[in-house]
Amino acid sequence: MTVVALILLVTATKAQTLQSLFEKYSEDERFTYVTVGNGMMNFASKFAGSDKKGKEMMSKMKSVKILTLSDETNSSIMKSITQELDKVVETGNFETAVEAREKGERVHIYYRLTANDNADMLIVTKEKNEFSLIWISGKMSKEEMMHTFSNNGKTINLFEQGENS
Amino acid sequence: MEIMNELLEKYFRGETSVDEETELKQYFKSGNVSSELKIYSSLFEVFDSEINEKANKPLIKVIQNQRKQKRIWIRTFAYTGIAASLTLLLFLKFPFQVDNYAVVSGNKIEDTEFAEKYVEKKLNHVKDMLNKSMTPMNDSFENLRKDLRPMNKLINVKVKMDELQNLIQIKK
Amino acid sequence: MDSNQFNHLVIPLSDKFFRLAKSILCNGELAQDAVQDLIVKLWEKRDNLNEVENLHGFTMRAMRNLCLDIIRKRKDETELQTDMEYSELNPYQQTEQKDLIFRIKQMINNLPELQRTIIRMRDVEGLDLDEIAFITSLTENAVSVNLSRARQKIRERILNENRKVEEMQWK
Repeated sequence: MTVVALILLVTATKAQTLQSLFEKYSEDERFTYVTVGNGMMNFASKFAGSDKKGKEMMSKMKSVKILTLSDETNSSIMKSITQELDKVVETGNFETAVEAREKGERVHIYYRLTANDNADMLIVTKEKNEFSLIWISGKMSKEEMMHTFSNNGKTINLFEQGENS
Repeated sequence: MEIMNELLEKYFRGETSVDEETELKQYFKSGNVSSELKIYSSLFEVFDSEINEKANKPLIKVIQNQRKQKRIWIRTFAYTGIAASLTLLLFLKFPFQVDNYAVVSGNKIEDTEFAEKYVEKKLNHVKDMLNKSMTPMNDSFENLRKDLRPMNKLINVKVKMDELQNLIQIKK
Repeated sequence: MDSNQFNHLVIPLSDKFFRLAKSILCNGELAQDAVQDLIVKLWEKRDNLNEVENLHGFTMRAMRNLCLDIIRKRKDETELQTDMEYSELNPYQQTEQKDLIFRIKQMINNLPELQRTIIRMRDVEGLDLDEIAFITSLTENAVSVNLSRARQKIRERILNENRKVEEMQWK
């Protein structure tokens, strides 16, 4: 019995992963945690609207998990989750896909490929009174994932002279 | 009834008190309405019926104590010395079942539609945020392009000036 | 505010929230969503609610603002799907009692948002002018003006329809 307990103790001190970070803070009452997993077909059609390509993208998403902190964005819990998040991004093979700043609002989007063609996209948003972590996983390429954030097929590309679709 | 006529006029002028409006409502409900005022019966009927519309039962009231129960259960297991691995397994399983749900301030809301709509809203919000920050940049690029056009014109003018100067020189 | 207080003070207001949302958005389903959203937001900020003097007014105002935000956002994308659109009475249509109620609802929904919100807050919910003023962030005078305008407009339409029906009956 004690041997088993020891082993578990050891595993408990392993490095923080995105999964464990989500598990940890989903238990915290100050956070709102929402998860959408199986059966995302319904959801896909609602979100993508009339955009056919968008629908395809959405159907490739396997799960979406969201952690949100409201109103306590200056407190210590904010500091701790930010630190832990930075570490996870650093050690977790994430690359930065988007970094946007606008009047006190920030959006960071990270991306990584995992085993078996699976990918994770992590969206971190910080506004005046709200901090959000959105974790999307599925079998999608970076371009496909970014497409979900374009407006009606126009990709977010600053350096094109005309319109892009 | 003359009184009712006057009251109704007052009503349409927006000058009636809540009590007077109640009086009007009672009058129209009574069924004993004069022929000229009958056309307004339906209006008051609409007001009467709309008050009965209700919201879907809100979700937060549901499953209030679930979290507390789960904690106690786990503690009991640990104290009774049952394999710690079992406890850990249960703990891991609970928040991460594959169902769709939300946990708002410690209360679990098991509603797929609610969870889906929440996610939809959040993603749309991110879209908005990105577009907001992208638009000023797109605008500045557009402005830059516009500003460059007069420069092209200037170049044309210079060419013309040069041509003119050449002409003048030749004339000399 | 703990969950007990919240359940006793805020949750019972849901029906009022719903009617307000439905009046502004003219769509029952959207209104239900909006109410859920509001409840979640209020729950997340329940600690601040203790300091609020007029909880009813405060939360109703929050509901209205939330709905106005929805309308604003939707304007940029697709048209807001309304449950009912008002159009002038077709001379060949029969007007029955049930129909008339439906048409009057249409008339109200067809008023500008502020007017239909105010007329319902007064004539359906029975709120005082000062309460309506608080919820809409207007002066009592402005509320009064909008209220009478709304009522006059409805009256105009009712009389107009009645005239058309009579014309039809004479044919």
